[in-house]
Amino acid sequence: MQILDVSGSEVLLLYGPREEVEVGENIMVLDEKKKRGLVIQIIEINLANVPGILEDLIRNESIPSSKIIQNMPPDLKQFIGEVRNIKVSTGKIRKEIAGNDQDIVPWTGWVPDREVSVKVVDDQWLITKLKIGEPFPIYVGNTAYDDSRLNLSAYDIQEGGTTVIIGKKGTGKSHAAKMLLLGLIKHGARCIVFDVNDEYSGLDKTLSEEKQDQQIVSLNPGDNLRFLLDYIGLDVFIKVLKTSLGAGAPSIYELSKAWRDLAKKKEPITLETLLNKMEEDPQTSNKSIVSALERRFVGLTKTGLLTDDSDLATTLENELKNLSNGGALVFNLKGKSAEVRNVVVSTVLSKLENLLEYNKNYPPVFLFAEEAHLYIGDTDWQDIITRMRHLGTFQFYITNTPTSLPEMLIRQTDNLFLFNLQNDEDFKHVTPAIRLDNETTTAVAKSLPPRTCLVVGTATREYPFVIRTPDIKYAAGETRRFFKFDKGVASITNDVVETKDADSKKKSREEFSL
Amino acid sequence: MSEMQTDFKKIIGEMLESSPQDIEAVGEFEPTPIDQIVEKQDMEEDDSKEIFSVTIKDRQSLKERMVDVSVDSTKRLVIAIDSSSVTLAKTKNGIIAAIKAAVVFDDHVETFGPFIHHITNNNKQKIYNYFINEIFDLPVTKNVAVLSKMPDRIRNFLERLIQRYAASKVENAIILWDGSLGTGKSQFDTPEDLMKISLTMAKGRGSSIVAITKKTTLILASNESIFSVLSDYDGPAIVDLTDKIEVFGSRIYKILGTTFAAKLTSNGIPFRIDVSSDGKSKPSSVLVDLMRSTSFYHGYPVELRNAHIYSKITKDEALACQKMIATTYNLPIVNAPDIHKVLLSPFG
Repeated sequence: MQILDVSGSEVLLLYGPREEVEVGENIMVLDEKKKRGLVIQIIEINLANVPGILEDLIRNESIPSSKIIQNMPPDLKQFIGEVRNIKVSTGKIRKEIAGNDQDIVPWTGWVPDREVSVKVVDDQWLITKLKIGEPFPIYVGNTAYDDSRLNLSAYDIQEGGTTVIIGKKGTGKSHAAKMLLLGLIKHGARCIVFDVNDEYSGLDKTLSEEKQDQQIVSLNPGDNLRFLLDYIGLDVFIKVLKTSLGAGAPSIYELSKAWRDLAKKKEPITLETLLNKMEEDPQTSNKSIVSALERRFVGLTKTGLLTDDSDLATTLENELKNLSNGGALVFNLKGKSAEVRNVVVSTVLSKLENLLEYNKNYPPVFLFAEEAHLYIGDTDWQDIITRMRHLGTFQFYITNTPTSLPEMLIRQTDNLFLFNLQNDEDFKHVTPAIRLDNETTTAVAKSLPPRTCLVVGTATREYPFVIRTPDIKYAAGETRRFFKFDKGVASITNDVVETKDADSKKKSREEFSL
Repeated sequence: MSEMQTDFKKIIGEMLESSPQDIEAVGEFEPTPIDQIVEKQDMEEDDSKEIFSVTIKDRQSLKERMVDVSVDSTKRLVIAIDSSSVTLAKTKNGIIAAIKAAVVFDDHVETFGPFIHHITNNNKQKIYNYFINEIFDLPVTKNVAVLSKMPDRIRNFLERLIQRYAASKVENAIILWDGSLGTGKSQFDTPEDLMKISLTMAKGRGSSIVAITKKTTLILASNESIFSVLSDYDGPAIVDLTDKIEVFGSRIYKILGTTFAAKLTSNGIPFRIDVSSDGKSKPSSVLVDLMRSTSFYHGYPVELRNAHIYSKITKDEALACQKMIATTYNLPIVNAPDIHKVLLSPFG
């Protein structure tokens, strides 16, 4: 392998077919005499445009090879094959190697001579040199090419604050999120998960196999998750009415007035007392406003999310208290209406913010948000990304629609797990997230197979690694299907079965592995 | 398999197995830059670039001599042979050359080489003797070419050998050669006897030789180019020039066949074409048969075009040859400065 060209931070490496290099693999270029070198990462591989190759290929193509009898010196065929298959890899200079101990330092702009040694570098050497993964290691996978184990430090992830996991559907991004979640729980961290696909509740099984029971608490709105209206609070309630239920300003005004009156008199605040209050109030200008709100309240009541019984009500404080040794509250938002998602997420975030703001000793919480654009409104992002992060909410965003994440979040991203993406718009949007060049994200991410990702950020000392996430067994919510295919047997669901079992609301679970 | 074919296979087998002569002793070699290889690629060296005067008065007289191409014709098998050579490198003793040839049959292509030769002033006579005496069984002469011309001499010998091999594989065919059937001045690299025997061998199997030159210029007495006249002519045209062609200053010029100026398709390019007939057909009929028997690329037979394509040593093949030499004989590569560029750059 030889250096063909260096231009800026881009290096072209030339090598014959006997040598193999993969996209994402790391190359060490070392000048032994000067005790200096570079660590280069391959981002693209091409066949070299060898002089004469076009003529040769056209010639071969014009007559089928079976009809050409070649009388050629026996060794020459091999050499022709080698010349035709010379490859050029494009690499990006990532780091500089300095001194006798080959310390890894930021690149100073130094460029080597052509007579240096060029070889594939062992990922483990790089991981050790970069001091990645300590303290509080979380195993996230093995490097794709030499299978070195990659741990990320929970401490570094926390220092970063915001982690974004991006990839097409089915590439393994939720899987990576679960690895991080389980790792954090094992280190005693408390986590909150907004789960739009019911993918996390089954993780309790994974933990119970490791004798860490009761650390995943699945909360299903209307089932084992109900809030007192008073607990939700006026601000959140108004937001839900405005954004999800389309309530107008007059309605909000009347409602706020009634809420404050009830609060002032220390009377219970429920949907019913609010309506009664508004109806009783002679100053309520328009009875139709009350009717409109009443219709909306009926809808809210049907969700089962609100309760007037404090014994049945959930509070974030209590739920987190039960996880004092680490664990996760999984808010299952699968199949829930926009207002339910909105109430749950806004309430949780609001309460979390209060907890952290008014109790400076309250332990920070790690927040996992799948497809956050489905339940976080445009106006809330800024508060979540800046203020809540400052208060001690370390955030993980998982999405297959990177353009749905606001630019402010992308620019604040400290760690990125990038799975396979194909859309150029997605790349453009994501590139500022990781302080990487567009060529790297585009070239690498487009060629990543499933369950393989580029991980880069503070936790990797800004060095991008391509890793394969490991197998993980967990129980996930079952997707209801008409066409079924199980163990090679195809069937359809066409019988209507009456469900009598009182527990029928509990979702059946299916164990599978990614 | 005929005796000729058996001998040929043996010769080619030996050439494939043999090492370039005296190469281990050279210590190092200086490869020809790849971008210069094609420029120096020699494909033919005969009278193809010659300017011939034709003692035909003018355009009208030329048209009057045109052969009737609407006569009955026979569809015949058409095959073609071509070869090339390149100088791959210099050594302290000489040059390293690669030679390649190809035969295009109706249903397949057979290529030979690239054969690599290390040619020095010490061994060039030996190489020449090997071909002229051991292969062609002709008397040795001492007028071996200068070193720089030797790759083309070897190429020419290989091409002649393969022409014979090709002729031995077919019957009643039209065999296309690249170049002319001129001897003497025009073919100082091919002894007349060598060519005569080749033609006789083809004739013995009922085949005709058609040699096409791409660059010859033929001038009428009126100073008009014959090719220009034929280009203007609407339709295919064949003009017999055998008794009208003259070479200035040459008394030893001889063409072993009939010479034509011919445009083989309506919109094609005209060429000088020499024909050595099978003895039964008129030379002009051979060309008419050719017109009916194959397809043409701008008036040039596709078999000959393909023979040229398959015999060409492409740059990647040349690179592979250079790599093989460096690897097999463990020869370090030296890159001597280009004196021309050093002295005259940027105008050199």
